[in-house]
Amino acid sequence: MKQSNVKKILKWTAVSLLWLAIWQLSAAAVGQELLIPYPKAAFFAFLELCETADFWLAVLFSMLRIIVGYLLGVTVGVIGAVLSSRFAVFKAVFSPVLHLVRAVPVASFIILAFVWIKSAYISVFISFLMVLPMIWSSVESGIENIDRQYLEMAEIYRISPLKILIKIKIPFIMPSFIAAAVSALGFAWKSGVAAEVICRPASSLGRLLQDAKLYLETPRVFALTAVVAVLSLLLEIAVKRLARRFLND
Amino acid sequence: MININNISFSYGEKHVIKDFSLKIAERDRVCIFGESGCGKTTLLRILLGLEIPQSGKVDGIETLKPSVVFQENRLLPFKTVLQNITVIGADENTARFHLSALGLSDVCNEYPAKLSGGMQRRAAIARALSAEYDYLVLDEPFSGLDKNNIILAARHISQSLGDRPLIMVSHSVSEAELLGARIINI
Repeated sequence: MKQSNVKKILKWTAVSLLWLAIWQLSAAAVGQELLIPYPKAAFFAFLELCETADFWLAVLFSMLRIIVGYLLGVTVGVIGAVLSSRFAVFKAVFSPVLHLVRAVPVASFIILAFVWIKSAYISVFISFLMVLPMIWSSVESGIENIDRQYLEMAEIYRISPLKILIKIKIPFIMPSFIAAAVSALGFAWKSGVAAEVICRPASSLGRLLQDAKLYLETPRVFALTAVVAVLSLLLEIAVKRLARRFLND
Repeated sequence: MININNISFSYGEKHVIKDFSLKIAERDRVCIFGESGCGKTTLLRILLGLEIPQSGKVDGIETLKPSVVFQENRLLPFKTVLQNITVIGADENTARFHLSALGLSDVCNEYPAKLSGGMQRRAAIARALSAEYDYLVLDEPFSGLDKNNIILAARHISQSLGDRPLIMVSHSVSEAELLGARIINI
């Protein structure tokens, strides 16, 4: 293993242990498991969860719903950005919608969506809605900020529009797109799980969280929250790796 | 032959070219001289088809392919030096030939940010020479180059150009002389 990797692991372990110690001390200071459980209790609650099929189904379906919403948001966001940068009318029509989506609290959308659509699809819709404006804006500004100088050069050498898109435009847009795609993933998770907590669809992490809260199983709430955070982190790492591979190509 | 007939161009209220005419024959090499802001670069942009004069016209460029060294290097930052040349459709061997002639054979696979300003300039020249072109346009081609590299680049441009016309902009008479260009005041 590379020395830099060993250093990174040691650093990460030290930071994790520090926060575990802070958690342990906080739990001891409060002295009520209902408010702050000990890390050990949360860990055992996690082990208990792992033994149930419900938990794994919830992980699978929550991930599936949020990823579908995220991918839809990315796809529609990219298409919208391209059309917006090309057609002024399209931009004029949709830019207030994007502002609205950004300004309205996610809880309002969740409640509205609860009225409109089946609870199983609400987290898909909410993730989509949160990701859409982020990707749209970053890709659109990426397109608008491509230096005209390079496009003039392409024009002089009569490079085909497809080649201009692949060899010049996309590489210029990629860094801002990737940054937006990574942070949008975190938002998709947070908003998707929040939607599940409020709407309680079957087989969802949000529903398990809400149930744990209702039955005052605080260690389980902590364990489920940690699961959501770890899954979000793993997906973020996967997206970053994919992006790095793409950029290196 | 490229025929510039009484062209005028202005940016808003500011007239930069007024009733300018010039004939550029095959084998002709011209160097446009003039004070800063007098429209030299605009004239080159018109010859490249990037600007359209408000009056007058340029005949003879419609069917011709230009190649150019802009005032800026315009090297794509995410492509290597070699890729910056092949992206315009130039053949890899031709690109390597010109890079080698300009002393850049060791940096073919480097990204522009890793090169000095002078090396980037020579890479931009190599790109222009690697393209298939009918006339060459150079805007301050030797800016940022030291004396030896100016001579090296001028000699190589001159040899590669052959009978094709050259239109350049420079502030230096000696640079025009190195390329055998006649001086036209704008």
